[in-house]
Amino acid sequence: MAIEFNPNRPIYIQIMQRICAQVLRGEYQPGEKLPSLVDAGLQFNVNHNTIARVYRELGWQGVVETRRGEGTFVTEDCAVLEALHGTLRDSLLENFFTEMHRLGYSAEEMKAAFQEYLRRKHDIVQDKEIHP
Amino acid sequence: MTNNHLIIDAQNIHKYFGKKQVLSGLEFQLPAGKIYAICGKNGSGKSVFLRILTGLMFPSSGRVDIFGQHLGVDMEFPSNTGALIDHPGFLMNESGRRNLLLLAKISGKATPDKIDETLSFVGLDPGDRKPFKTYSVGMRQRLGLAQAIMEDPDLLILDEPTAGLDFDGQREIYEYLIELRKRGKTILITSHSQGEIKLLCDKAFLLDEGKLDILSDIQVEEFPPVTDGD
Repeated sequence: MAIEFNPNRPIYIQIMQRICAQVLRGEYQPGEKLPSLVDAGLQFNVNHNTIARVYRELGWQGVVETRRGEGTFVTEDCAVLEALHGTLRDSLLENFFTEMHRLGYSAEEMKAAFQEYLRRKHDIVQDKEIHP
Repeated sequence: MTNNHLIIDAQNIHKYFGKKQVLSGLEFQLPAGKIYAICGKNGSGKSVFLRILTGLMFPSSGRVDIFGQHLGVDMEFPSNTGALIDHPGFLMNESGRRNLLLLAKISGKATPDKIDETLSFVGLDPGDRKPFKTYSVGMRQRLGLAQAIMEDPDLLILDEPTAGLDFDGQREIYEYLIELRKRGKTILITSHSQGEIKLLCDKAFLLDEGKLDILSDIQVEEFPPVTDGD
């Protein structure tokens, strides 16, 4: 399935975010080898140089480690992965805040709306458990 | 050798076969150290142009310089260049290794150790004694690539290097070419595959009506300027 990228943001940044999300979801385990430049290039339908840049940037962030002749591996450093979790969470919250703010919501209204959303989600989940 | 140094400089190339004009004032300048592709319809002149670049054919007019040397004047065949065009004339009853050893005797540049290293690099077993006639399409393509790179040339000219290969075979050739690029080689391929060009090439050219135009430039397409907030 073709992956669609936002044309307004550099592709390599979007791929970096996707890989970080995959690591945080456990789709890549600490120490696991990431796809080669060729395989990742084919997967994302981009040039191998773009993947090389992604891996280089993630390497500078400590999320991955490239070993010459072996490939690129997810870090086993738990502190880095925890920090990554925090960064992604903050990024999602920032997106939520920005979009809600654009719609004219105050901080209190955002908080109330989110709590109502969570309550409805909880009800839906409970309802599914009772009526599968 | 800087990245801006021209490896190939072809100027005003014309080629006629009788009255039929195949190349008409083609201009082509290639800096070092990247992977490039030429694509175009069948019969557009890609293979003719590659033969001109490798000294296998003369242009009707125009000039080609490779590594600064005038092809056909300073030298008959380009130096420091490996080529895979059509199927190399390997001996059917000899092993892959023996074929390369015989070729190396002619040029005197590749040692047996280098040949073994090259065979391993392309995924062939240096100890395999099976004759070439038993080789699969994929193995033949790998041996062709091995003969092109065994003298460690800085320029590789490869006519459809993944032709006839299945998906896994193509992937492996891509891995080898990317590794060669990392080692500083300049690679020029022809290709019909948009996906292959997109994956491999820094820049692609379209040969149409005897002339070359830029088809795509990875630097421009995939690395747009980073804006604020990124």
